[in-house]
Amino acid sequence: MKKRKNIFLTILMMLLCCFLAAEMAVAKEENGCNIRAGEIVFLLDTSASMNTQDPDRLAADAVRQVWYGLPDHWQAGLIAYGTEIQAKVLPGTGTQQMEETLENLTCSGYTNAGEGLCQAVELFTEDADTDRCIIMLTDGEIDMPDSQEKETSRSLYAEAVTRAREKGIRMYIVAIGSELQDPRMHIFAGAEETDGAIYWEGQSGTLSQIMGRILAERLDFPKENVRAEGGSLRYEIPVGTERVTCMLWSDQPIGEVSADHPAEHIQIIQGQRYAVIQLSDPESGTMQVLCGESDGSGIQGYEILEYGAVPEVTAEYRTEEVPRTEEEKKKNIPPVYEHKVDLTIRLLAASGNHENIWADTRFEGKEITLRINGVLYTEVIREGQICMTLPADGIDQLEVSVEADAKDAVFCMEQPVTVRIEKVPDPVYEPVPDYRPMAVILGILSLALLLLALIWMRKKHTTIIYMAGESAGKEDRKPSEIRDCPYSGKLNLYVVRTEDGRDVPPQTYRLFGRKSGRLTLDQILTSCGIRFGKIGADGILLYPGPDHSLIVLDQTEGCTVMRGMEILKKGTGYPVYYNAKITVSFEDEQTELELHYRNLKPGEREGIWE
Amino acid sequence: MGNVIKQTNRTMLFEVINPDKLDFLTLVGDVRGMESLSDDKIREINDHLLVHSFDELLEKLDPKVYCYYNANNQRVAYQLERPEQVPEEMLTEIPLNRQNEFMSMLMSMVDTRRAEGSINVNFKFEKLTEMISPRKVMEAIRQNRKELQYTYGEYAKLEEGDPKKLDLADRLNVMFEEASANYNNVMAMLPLAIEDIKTRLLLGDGTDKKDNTPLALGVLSMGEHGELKVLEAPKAESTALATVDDHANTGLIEALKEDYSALNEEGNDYVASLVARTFCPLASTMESSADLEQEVANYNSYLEFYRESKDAFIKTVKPLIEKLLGVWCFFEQYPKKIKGMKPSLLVTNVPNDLLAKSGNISRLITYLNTVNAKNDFGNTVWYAIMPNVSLDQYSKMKLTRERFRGNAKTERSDVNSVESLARLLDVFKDYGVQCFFSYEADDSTTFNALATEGVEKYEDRCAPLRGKPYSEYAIPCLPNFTIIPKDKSGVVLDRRMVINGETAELSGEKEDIMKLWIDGVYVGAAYVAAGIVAAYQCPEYLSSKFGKRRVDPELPGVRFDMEADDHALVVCTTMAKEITGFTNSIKNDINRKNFGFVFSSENAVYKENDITNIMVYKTRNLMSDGYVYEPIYKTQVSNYIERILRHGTGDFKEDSIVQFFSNNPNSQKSRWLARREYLNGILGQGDDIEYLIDEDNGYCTLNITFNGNVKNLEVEINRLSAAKG
Repeated sequence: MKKRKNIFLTILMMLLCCFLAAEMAVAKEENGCNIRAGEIVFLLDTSASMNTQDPDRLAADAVRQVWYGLPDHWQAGLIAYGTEIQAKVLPGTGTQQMEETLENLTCSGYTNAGEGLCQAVELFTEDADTDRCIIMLTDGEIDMPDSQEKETSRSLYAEAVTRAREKGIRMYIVAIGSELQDPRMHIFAGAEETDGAIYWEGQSGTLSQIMGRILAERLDFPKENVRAEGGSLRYEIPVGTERVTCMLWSDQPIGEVSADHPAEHIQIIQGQRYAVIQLSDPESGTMQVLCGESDGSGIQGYEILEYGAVPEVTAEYRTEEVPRTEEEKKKNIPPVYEHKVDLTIRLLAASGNHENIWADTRFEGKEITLRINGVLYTEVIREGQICMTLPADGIDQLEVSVEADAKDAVFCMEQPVTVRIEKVPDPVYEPVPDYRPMAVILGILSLALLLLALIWMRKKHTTIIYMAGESAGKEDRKPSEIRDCPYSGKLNLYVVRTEDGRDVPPQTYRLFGRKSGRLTLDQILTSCGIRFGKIGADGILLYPGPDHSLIVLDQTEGCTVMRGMEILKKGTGYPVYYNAKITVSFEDEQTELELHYRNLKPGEREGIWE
Repeated sequence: MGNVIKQTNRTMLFEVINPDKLDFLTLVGDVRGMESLSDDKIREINDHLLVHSFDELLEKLDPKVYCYYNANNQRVAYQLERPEQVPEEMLTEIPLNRQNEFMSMLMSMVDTRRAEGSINVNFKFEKLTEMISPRKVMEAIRQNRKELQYTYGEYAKLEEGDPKKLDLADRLNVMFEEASANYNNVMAMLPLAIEDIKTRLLLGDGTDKKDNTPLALGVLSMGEHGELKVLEAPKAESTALATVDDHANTGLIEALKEDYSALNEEGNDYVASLVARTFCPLASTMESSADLEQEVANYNSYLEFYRESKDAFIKTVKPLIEKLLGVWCFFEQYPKKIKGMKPSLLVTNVPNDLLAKSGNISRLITYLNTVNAKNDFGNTVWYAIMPNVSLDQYSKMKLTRERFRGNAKTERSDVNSVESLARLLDVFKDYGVQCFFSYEADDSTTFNALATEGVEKYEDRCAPLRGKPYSEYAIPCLPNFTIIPKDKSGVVLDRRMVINGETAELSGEKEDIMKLWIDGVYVGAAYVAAGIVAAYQCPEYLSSKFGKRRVDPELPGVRFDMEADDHALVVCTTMAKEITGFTNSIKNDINRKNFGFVFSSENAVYKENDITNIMVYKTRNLMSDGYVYEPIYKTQVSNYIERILRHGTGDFKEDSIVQFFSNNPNSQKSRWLARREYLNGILGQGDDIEYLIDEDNGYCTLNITFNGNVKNLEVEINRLSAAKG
């Protein structure tokens, strides 16, 4: 049972460890910066000898120089030791507490470097992927009141060095004063074993210069060096920076430093031989820093540009038809579409006006590594943005993160950015219809229609009229087909009498050239501008007959139509030939009309067609 | 075949002569359902309306004017149409015949001018206008009465039963009839009464002695002392007419009185005596001591009344007189002595606006369909005369009823509207009737006016008739003829009488001259144009002018071109020249436009003889090719050929047409070609005729070449097989 409990605890611990590891990884990812985090512990010798070797307390000033000259993601702690540990500042402690600690340090006692280093090594976190170093400022070898303690301190020092080496902590030992000239001194073993470095004040420069060198050369964070020109330094502040740290130092006192640049917040921290100007959300441009009492010679500096950025990604989904061969087209094979997404990526400042960071000229043409859905792509910034096209098959969303170059600046980005691809369905392929069957059907239908039309035309041109018998007086009527007979001649109209007694001028109605078919007398009268109203003219029909005849059909109830002296029977067609006269008495029993059917001469016919 | 057509000058006159007589529309009658009229109907129409001379017109249509008296205004009224509200007995009919003094004066005027050959400006119109004065009337009567008296004397001498007496009786009847025309109405008696009073009161006025002593007839005798003196003869105590002669005159007086009384139931003794005095020799024993003042007042009153009534009469009758003169001029163009194709005139005697009405025009069509669309050409109408066409080119026919108030126009009521002319022309074109028309005759359309204004005015007026299918048949005739110019139409009737002391005498004052104005008399050019064209259709007429050798006696003058050669100089009108001539610019204008049937009053000499008559200058219709108008003979030749062809080919049988135009010497074409040297050859020099048969359309196109100009004539052929087209 107890064994099971141990297994359970072990699994629980492992899960906890995994969870913590995962949390750290997440934290690291959430950190989202392109640089490694850093931890520095200053190991400051505050033995009584320092009063002699560092009467101006430049060591504390050097600590401040590094403290303020670090980027935001670097943390610093402090161990001040004499015989005992005098002060201990944990990394991550605030500036004010650090300043107070440094202000209150006193130099007294021996030099218990072993204990100091042990404490210093202990101050480091266990965070992975973090640069760690110890900057030790001391003026001499380990010295304790007695040799045992001295030896103990030495062994502690050696052990601490070993641990530091195991932890990857490099030691940079700055020998202050003139007593540590022998490089074989025991204390320097720490630098050698941890792949650190030893700086001798004087030989390696002033403390400010040494600190500047350590910052510039040993600590791995992006920075740009700046050279003084005539007592001033010009810092170029690009678009969209969130925080800028401008560091300058000199081997000589630099006097009062002044700088003015539009920013949300600007702070100048000045030591005797260094100065740090910190700007929050500055505007882009050039910041000139003036050093009051210096001619500028020997002044060095750098600037750390820190960006808080958010990638802005837009994805346009599109489909692209793969070109088809002519044969494929003929075979009506549906086209294949390539699905693509056009990405446009810009890097916007997380604060301020959310300016496009890549709009700065320094980024133009720069290669940027992107991670999109876990795949790395290297693209070039053009006109402040990256445009690229990716296949979109099987992808619904894109997870984009920008791998910023750690050499340029510190980028802390809220990424990856997830963009959903708004897919649109492929165009529905409408195959070109095969018209052939339809053409055949239509052809057949057309033929059928033509046939019907022909039949209809034939029927149209064929009028069946019950014609009167040849001799007048006979009762017989014979149905007669009148077909394809054109109209000919003309009708002269003479209104013999009207109801109101008005005189209607004689009119001529040309029949020749008109489409064969039925004409009513009403149509003729109307076209001649003669209006009688409803008196039966529409019931008197005219058809073209054979041999240039005109067939007159009276279908009215009350009209009397005469061909010559013969009264036409109702509903019976009577042929009328040239020079014949038709007399019509209308239903009103008042209006009378004479129609004279006349031939047209060829000359008159030509006139019609003109 | 050549002389199938015996006349080519039947002319229709579209005018009213006597509204009381039967007219064309009435005679044609209802034509509903009829395509042609019967031969009887044609004969009836001819009986009533067809005339071959002016006298026949006067006889058949009996033109007259109606006269009645208005008691309210003491005036006489005249009317051409019988006034229906006036009772028959109150109405006097005045015949317009050669005896009518106004008519005879105008006819004499034309004759005199023709004889004199003087132009208007030189002619003494007043000499002839005086003819209607009472004195001239009396003179004419005196001449008549002489004859009457002589004849009656001869009649009285013969014994009863003598056959010669019967002959003389017939002659007397005629003479009485003529005399009665004068005394059967008071108006005719007025000049007699005037002259009667004048004779009685002014007896002795003609002597050189101008003393104021009243006339007392006496006898020459020797006085006691042997002096020669005139003693007043003892007066008979009777006012009755005394005859100086034997009882024959008494018989005549009685006969006249009886005739007067028979004709005039309400006649009085005064008029009866007047008639007797007028037609019998006056008694020298006539009472000379009549009531002088009364007689002078009567004379002046008669004269004034006579002037007023004459004036009213002339104003009323002048339009009719102008028509009658037109007809007279029409017949005058054809000399009476020639016995050939005498022109004949069919008078419609109906107003044109009525005839041209849509309801009536069918009757004209039916008539023309009968006479012009048959192969009998005896009654074929070739010409029409429509004078007095309105100068308003847009004149419309008179509305039956004016429903809406239109623009007020002062229109002459007797003019023919252009619309009616156009309607009739549209009919004429279908029947090949060439229509001579002239514009309203007044002083604006005379030779004088044409000489000053040119032909442009007429051409503008004809604009609505040009470019129409019937334009070929419209022949505008100009200028109109002047019988009496407006400014010379004053007629002096006589002078007022005044009492000077104890005697009466004619006043010498200018204001006492009794004068009336005829206001000009004109004759439409269409009459003369149609007359001359109708005349030269006759080969005998042409022979009389050009000689027999140049004229074919069988062929009509259809091809006679008046404009060609010297034809116009030879074939002149019978009308006398009116003016000295047109200026060159006017003639150039006429020649350039070649417009109309234009007469000219020119000085010309033909074969050393001065031409004193009016000549024909242009003979064109209104069909134009855009540049010139076509001569009228082309149309008539085409119609003539078409009619001959129709007759000769059995209504255009295809094979007969081929034969008609074949080169066989007996073919019609060959015979025409053989006579081409004659003036009246159907095909003249330079003419030709070709034919082209259009089988598809069933037409035969004749290309008739007139001096190089081709005119097409299309006829529908009569095929034996069924029609193709």
